[in-house]
Amino acid sequence: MTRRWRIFLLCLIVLASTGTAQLDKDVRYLKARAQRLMEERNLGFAIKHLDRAIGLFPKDGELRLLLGECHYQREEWKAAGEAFASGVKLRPDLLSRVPHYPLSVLRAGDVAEARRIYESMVATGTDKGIENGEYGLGMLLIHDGKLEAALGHLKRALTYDPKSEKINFRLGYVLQRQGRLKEARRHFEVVAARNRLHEPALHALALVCFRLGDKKAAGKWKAAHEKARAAMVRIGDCQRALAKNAGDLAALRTLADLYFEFHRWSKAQGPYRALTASQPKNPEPRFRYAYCAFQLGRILEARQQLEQMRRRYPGYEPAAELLRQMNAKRDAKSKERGKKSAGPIPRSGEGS
Amino acid sequence: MRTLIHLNVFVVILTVFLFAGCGGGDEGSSSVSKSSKKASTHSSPPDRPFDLVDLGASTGLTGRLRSGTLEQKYIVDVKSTGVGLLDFDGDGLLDVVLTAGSTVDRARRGEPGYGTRLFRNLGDLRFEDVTERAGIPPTGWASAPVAGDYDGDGRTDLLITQFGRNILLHNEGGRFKDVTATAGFTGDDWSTSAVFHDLDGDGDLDLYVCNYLDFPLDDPPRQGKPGFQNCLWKGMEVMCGPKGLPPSQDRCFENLGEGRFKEVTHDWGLDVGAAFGLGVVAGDFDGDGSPELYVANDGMPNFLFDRNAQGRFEDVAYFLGVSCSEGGAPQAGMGVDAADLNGDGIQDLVCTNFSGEENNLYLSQGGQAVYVESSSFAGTALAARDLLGWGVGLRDFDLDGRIDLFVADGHVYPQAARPGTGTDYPQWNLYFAGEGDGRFRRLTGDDLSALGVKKVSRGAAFGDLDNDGDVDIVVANLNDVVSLIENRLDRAALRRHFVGLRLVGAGSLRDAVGARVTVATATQRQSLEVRRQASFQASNDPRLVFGLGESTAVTACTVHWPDGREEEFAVKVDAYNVLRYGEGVK
Repeated sequence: MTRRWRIFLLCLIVLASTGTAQLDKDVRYLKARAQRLMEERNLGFAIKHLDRAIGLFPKDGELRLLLGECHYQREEWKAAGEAFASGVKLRPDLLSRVPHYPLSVLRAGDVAEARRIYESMVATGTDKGIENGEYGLGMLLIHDGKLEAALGHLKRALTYDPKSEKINFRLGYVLQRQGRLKEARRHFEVVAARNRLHEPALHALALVCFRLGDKKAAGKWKAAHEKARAAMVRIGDCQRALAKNAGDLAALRTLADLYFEFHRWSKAQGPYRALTASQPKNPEPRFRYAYCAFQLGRILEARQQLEQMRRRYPGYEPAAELLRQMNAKRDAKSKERGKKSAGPIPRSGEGS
Repeated sequence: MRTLIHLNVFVVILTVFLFAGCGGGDEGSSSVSKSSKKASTHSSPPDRPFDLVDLGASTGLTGRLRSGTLEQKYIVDVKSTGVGLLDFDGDGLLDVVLTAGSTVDRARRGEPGYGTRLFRNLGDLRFEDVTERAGIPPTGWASAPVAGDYDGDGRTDLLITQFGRNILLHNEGGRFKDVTATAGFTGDDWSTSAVFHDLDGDGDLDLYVCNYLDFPLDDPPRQGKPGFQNCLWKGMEVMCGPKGLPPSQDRCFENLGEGRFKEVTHDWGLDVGAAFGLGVVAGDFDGDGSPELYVANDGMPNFLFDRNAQGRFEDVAYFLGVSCSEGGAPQAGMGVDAADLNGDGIQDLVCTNFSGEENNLYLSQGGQAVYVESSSFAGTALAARDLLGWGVGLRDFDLDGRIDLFVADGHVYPQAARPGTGTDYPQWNLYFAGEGDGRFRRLTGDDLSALGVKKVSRGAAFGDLDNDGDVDIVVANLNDVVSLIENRLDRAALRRHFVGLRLVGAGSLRDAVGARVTVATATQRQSLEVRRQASFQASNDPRLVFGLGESTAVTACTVHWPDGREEEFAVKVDAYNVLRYGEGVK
């Protein structure tokens, strides 16, 4: 009897675990599908899909957060806020990763609630939570006209991501308003060095340099701003064309090349990947995709792509050249490591 | 059972009735009826010491300001309807001019538009239509009524800008005469806002006209036409433009006297490039004694023209920080105004923009005419972001000694009324109470009755229509009746005082446009400049109203006349004072 019971219980556990695994698989599928729809900007359909998914899995917080993101992107602030709130209630651990939650609450007009959410983000104690929370609190204080207090929050946020574009830009903005132009310039320069398409920073740099009397730099930054502006207009045109016809290869190519030209490596990768799939005989999109991966530090991925290219397009020199460069770099590094390891053996007490 | 069937039938009929009601009209008319209904509920607003009350059609400002069809299929449909305030008959009361548009079909057939109407102020905020009696001719697709005494005869003349040839009307003593033929205007553009100002400092009013774009009336742009594949907004097909249509060059005319003008756009350095010009304000913003022009362009960088030592204008907008948004992108500039908001003696600038963009508030920095876009700091950014702003006024509406901000809103796409757009076609107007340091506090429909009504607003003009010492507002609403928003300020209850000033200049500059007045009380010093045009397609009351708060005396009133002369005047508080050139106390 005991044995029979044991077998019965074992069967139940196996069945339950199979069921759970199946459910997990279903939820994962639904989330992936929703994310794909969101990437395709098919937000209306994504919302319908997520509503159905939430009906099936009402206790899944991530589905609700995705729904909130869809509403946010459609500028449906109230619905976004509600979806985010219900998602965060189920998954409070994800609060720090939903910066659009307090923003949608704010856009719906509830400043006090947005402040409370930012404070809760800081209270999570996670790096991302503190960074997002402090940044948000700083922004609210700017809207209140309390620039000095805002500066404190923004500086705290910056310690968690010193190269952050948005935090550096906002710090620059506050300092510029306070007349601390040299400090402002430094923050704007951090942003401009990181993102050559960051129009606000380029524009602000031109103005700050002009006010500092550095007319040469002002002119340089104005030219950079105008170049970025023109590129952004073309990027907008391409995105609109692609929204209408996802197979518009000319738009895809222009978009990819513009991002590439302005060193927006991660943004360029998507269009190049799509071009690689649709133009298998053309080696250049694949090469540029690999180059983006290389610039992003994803060496393994870049190497795999380039090796494939060497086999598929044996005469394509740029890929071979990049591979040679990568190999030379790797060899130099390993030599250096070898040298280090071959150095004098530290005496006892030295170099622990 | 029978009762149940009857009940069901009743429910079905009720549903059909309700849905028929929803779908029967188009979006424009439904918003109109909603607005009218709401407006009537505000006829007896709650008793507040300060309120803005939309008096609706009860004032006699009747008739809808029509432009285009209710579908608003073309860009030319959406920009008309302006409003001007001028005392055309010299009776001391501000009269109202309203401009309306036309339709593409009418314009193609060469028929007149829906007409420009002139309403005489009878007192007590009642008006009568005197259009024909006053000699206002039929107009085409009219944009802005631009008032100004261009010949210095003491009577306010009127320019009507249009889609097509502009019309100049000379005031011959309460009756206008069309003098366009001899005025010397060039161009047959789509003109929007315009400004009369002494731009060359020779003592008469010159004219700067904003031009929008070259609209092909015979073959209007539409979705799918070559070059117009993406007339989409939030995934919906909407009217095409301005992108894809050729922008127009603004024009400037020098006043040669005797009612003649000469185009000087190139000679004065103002031909910096064609743009989608919509709003303009002129004034000595930096206090250097020569005028500047600030021009709002739709989707292109704004211009700030400053006159250099050689007498030519240069566009200095970029490096002074007023050409685009904080984000460094050009915005859809519509209406503009200027006033010193942070008390540093430099006039700050405001520019209204499209939905999804902030209305730009450019605050001067460190007492110099360099600006930082400060709408987020000022507390005006968030409220305006989902609204599409047009007419704008920086005035001390509540007479507390601090400049407030009013913005007239309304979308261009009727499709904005559909769910999921994050905005609406008819929209609330915005009011921000100034704090005196460049910051503002928003008041809503809960605070001020007129803000509780959504309309598709365009031009807005500002002036004291009932001569009670506070500034009222007239808002032109597209395909709707005009809103006369009475400023109901209980000065006694709030212990607020004012000083009103009418300046009479010398020679051809009798309007005294460009004169700057500084008024000092025991606690405060304020400056205002006389100007007639600002906002969007509007002409305002040229009188100055200084709010004094609780101060009951003015310790000094100094006028800086446009020719550089400075005079002091003794002025009475809580009254309008006439200050004539050369009659100051010292």
